[in-house]
Amino acid sequence: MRISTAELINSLPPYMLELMSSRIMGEKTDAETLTRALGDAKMLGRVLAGLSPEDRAVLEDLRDLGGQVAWHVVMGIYSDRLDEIKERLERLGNLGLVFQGGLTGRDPLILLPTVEPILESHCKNILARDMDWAEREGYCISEHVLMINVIQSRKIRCRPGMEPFKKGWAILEETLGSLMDVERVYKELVRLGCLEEKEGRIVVNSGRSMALAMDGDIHYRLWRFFESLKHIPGLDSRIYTLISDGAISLDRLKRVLFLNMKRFSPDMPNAEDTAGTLVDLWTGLGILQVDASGKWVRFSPDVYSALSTGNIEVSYSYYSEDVIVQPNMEVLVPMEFDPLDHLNLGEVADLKKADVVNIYRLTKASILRSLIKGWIPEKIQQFLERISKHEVADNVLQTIKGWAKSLKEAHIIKGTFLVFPGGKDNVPRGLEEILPGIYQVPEKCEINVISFLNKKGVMVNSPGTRAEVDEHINWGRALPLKTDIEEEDKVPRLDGVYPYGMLIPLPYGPKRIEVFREAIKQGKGLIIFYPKMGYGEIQMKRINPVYVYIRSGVPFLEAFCEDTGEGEVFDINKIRAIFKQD
Amino acid sequence: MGSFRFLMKDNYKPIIVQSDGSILLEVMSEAYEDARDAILPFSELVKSPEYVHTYRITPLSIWNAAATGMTCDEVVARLERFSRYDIPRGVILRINEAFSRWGSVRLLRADQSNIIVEVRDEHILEEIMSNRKLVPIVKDVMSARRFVIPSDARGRFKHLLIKVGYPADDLVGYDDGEPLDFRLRRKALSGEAFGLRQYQKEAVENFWANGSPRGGQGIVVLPCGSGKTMVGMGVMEKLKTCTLILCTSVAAVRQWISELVDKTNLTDDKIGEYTGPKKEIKPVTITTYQILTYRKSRRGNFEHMNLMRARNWGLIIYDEVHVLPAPVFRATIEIQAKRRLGLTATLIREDGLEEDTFSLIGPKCYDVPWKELEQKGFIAEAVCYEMRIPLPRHMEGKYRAASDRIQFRIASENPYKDMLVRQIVRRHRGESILIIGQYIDQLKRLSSMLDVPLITGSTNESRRDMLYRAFRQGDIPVLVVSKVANFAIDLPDASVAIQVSGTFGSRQEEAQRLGRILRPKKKVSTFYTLVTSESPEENFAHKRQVFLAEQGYRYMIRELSYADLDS
Repeated sequence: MRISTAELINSLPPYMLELMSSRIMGEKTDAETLTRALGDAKMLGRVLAGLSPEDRAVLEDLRDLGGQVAWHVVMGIYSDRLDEIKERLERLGNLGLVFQGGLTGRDPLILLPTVEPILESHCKNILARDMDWAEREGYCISEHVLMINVIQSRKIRCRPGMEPFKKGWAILEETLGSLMDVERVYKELVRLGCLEEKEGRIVVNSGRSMALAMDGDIHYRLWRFFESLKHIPGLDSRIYTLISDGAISLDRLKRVLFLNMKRFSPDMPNAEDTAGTLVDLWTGLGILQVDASGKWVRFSPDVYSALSTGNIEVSYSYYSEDVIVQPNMEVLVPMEFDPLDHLNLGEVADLKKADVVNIYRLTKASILRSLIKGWIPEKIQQFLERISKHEVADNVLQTIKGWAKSLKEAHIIKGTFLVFPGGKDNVPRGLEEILPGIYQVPEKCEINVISFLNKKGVMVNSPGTRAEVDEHINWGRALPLKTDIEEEDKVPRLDGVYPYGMLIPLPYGPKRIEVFREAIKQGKGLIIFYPKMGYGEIQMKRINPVYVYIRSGVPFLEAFCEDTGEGEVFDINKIRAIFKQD
Repeated sequence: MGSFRFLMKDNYKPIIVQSDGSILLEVMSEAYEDARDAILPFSELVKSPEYVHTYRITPLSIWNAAATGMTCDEVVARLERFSRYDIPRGVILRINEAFSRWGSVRLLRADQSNIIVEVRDEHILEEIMSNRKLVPIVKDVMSARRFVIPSDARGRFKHLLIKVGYPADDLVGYDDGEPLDFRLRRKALSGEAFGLRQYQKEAVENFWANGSPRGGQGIVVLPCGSGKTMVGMGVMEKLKTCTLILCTSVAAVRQWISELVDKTNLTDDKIGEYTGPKKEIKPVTITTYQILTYRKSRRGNFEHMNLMRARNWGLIIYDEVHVLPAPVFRATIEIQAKRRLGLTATLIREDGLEEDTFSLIGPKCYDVPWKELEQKGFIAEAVCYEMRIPLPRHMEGKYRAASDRIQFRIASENPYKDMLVRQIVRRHRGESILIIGQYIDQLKRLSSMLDVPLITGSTNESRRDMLYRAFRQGDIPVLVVSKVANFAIDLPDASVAIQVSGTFGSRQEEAQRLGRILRPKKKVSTFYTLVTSESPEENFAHKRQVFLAEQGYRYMIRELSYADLDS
């Protein structure tokens, strides 16, 4: 819950209220009047206008950190110019714009809540529709589809844990390396469940791959967005709230990311670079669109719609229709081809070269593979005719028909009996023929028998070769994105809230005694913050220090208290802070 | 699928540059011709199936372009102008690199016995001086960028230099050779009007390059049947010098001779045939690669290689330069002072010696794709049919029980093929038909069934010559030839070829064979392959199909059933 201005003012100790109101308004007022004054937008606007850009930047940082921020975070963010920032905060505290909880000087900073909307109105009133937004080109899962298609046509063995062997990596690198970060795409496919391990081989999960291709592009982009921020809980919601349906300057977005990374982990190294990398990633993925000037970004409309409503709208408008089936059995496929059709093509043709335009080849083996997966020659023909920009050459269709005709079929029943009336030549050696055309399959040898027969151009029907049932991908984060989950830095209220810089927290050790000796020497009166006896409640006392002494190792201050009109002795170690007087 | 076209504005752009340097060119695009003309000077045509042709940019293709004066910016600008997508950065870098190497080593004449080598950067000289094969050639270092080599090491130096990635810009010039009165006739002896076609004239001019040292060496790439011989004769007329012509076969030698006699002022006494049976050395001598590379034993000398130096040749023509054998390359190293013209339909070599062709014969100086010539009507269309027929039912049992090798033979000699051949011959009555096969028994059967002559490897030469002549003159409309025979001859007038059996050879072999069989005529040429369905023949036929489709031929498949054959 965010604190309101009224709550903030009410958290001021009564004596502080007096001091503050007389400093800001020139007279002592009650909390209500001060709240009203600090909520006056016009007055605040004038105050803000009079600030230097650097001071204003500090306020903006506080706003982007959610209005309140722990002191160690402030130190992390401004570690290289802490003294300068303290000075700026002090100036802003004196204007009643920045507060700090407690008396230690290490408690969270709080931005005057009424300042936030005024700051916001100064930098956000940008209507996204008034700007020119670059259209996104291509789609993001083409790389994944390509990899699935390579894995479909090549046998890649893997270790337990789905780590391909060196040769497997080499195959993937050789075919796809020039286009993508092979390792990243592979690992993503594994995490999305599109690839599985079966008998030491990487196989494609057809159901999940289809799901990826069908609505995957937008889903995948969102997934990458959430994944990129998963180490900072809540930042995705914060970014979503921040940008919403409007536009934000690129610099501010990077600053917000930087600030929030620092808030989550103040010691994070290279947070600034990481913020830049994230923004590049999102614009590259089409999560964000950049305007023509290159200075503003917004959520891509489809992404914003998905984030706000949870509805995934599949757009076809990006897909190219420039697929060419050549008479030499090559199929040329642009990167922007419909991912679903691209995936289907991978079932009927082998990917030979992934490049600006991908080159597939229809081969006997690829046609056999597609038939095993349930295609029929007519369906292949219709598919090729549908996707091809030009008429598919007669020889291509005839050749496919010929290959399909030459295919022999066998059945494996209950994993034990191979029914294959196609002649003994194609049957693996060692299989016992128990009846004419029926062979006994030894235990645990079904896969080997199928693999052998496939090599011979025999299609084997067995429960193990059937396509997986429809499976869905677990995309992780639920949509629509909720915006009310915000983690705020806890503000300890025990010691109240004070305008930043009006108090001087006392140093520990001998230096603390020196503060009072110096005051005695100068004959200066002090306002100190001292706990009431027994309750621990802090009270403010106006004193004139007289004498400092140490008894049993404990320093004491003898002083005249103006509030009581009596001489009093204070335990110096218990004095929490002194008020800074001009 | 939506109707919106991605990148609509760029859709008219017909080329796509792949990251490996290959260029896909969409033929159906309106800008196809412009794009093709733009990229052809710096890329090689790899394959040309119906819809998208593939070209390739290599250092050699770039050097070929650089040799004609093209710049790197020009190449990149041409690509950018026609490219649908951004050009991959790596490709631009490689083009840059290749261009930066061109001209970095120049060969200039010092005197009769020495050549000055000028390098652009000192580090190139250091690289040369640290190469243990190149350093012995260097005679004297004049400065950090100049050194001297002996004239007779010109070829060897260029050959070794290209192996370390530097093409030599050879500006030394040539020996003029023994003069010869050589003119092209305006009307051939056969009575036909004769003159060089526009593209042939352009090829000649490009080779000649106004007589500058930049010209005088190079390769003209023209498709089969487009008149490469005419280009050779055009160059001979330009140079008017004694010429040695190297061909792939005796038949090709004879064809050159007949063309020279028919279309030039040369008489028989000026033209020599240097082959197995004849060893004549005359002002224009035509020989074969085989005779040049003949030796009695594996370690013996090439007895006829001296022919290269037997006369003061001013020009050497390498016909079908893509099959130039290695020993001829070696001999060519020694004759770099002679002007050299290579003629070919493709620069691609099975043995990967494209670099040697470039450094020793010369850069490509002219190229025109056959599709363009076809469109302009210079060559005719060619169509291929694959006829698939089943095996007779009574043979199925025997076929299934047989081994792979025997199965192939049974499928090859499928008796239904005989019926089909008869039908095809009937359909193409009046045309010159060639029947090609692998198995002699089958060919004999066909020969006697159709009552037409058969030529095999064992047919004696005089009978062969007689049959070829009769075939050319149209006296024999159908000729049955074995694979051995058809590979060794040139049959200019065959307009129909029927392949009844045979495997698929190398790409080059198929190109050579089919290129000659399908040698474009004034009307459509047809090539039939008869294949037994569901047999190993289909695999070979498929390879041929892919190859022919990649050459741009239309390929149709017809599946015949028992009912079709019975009817």
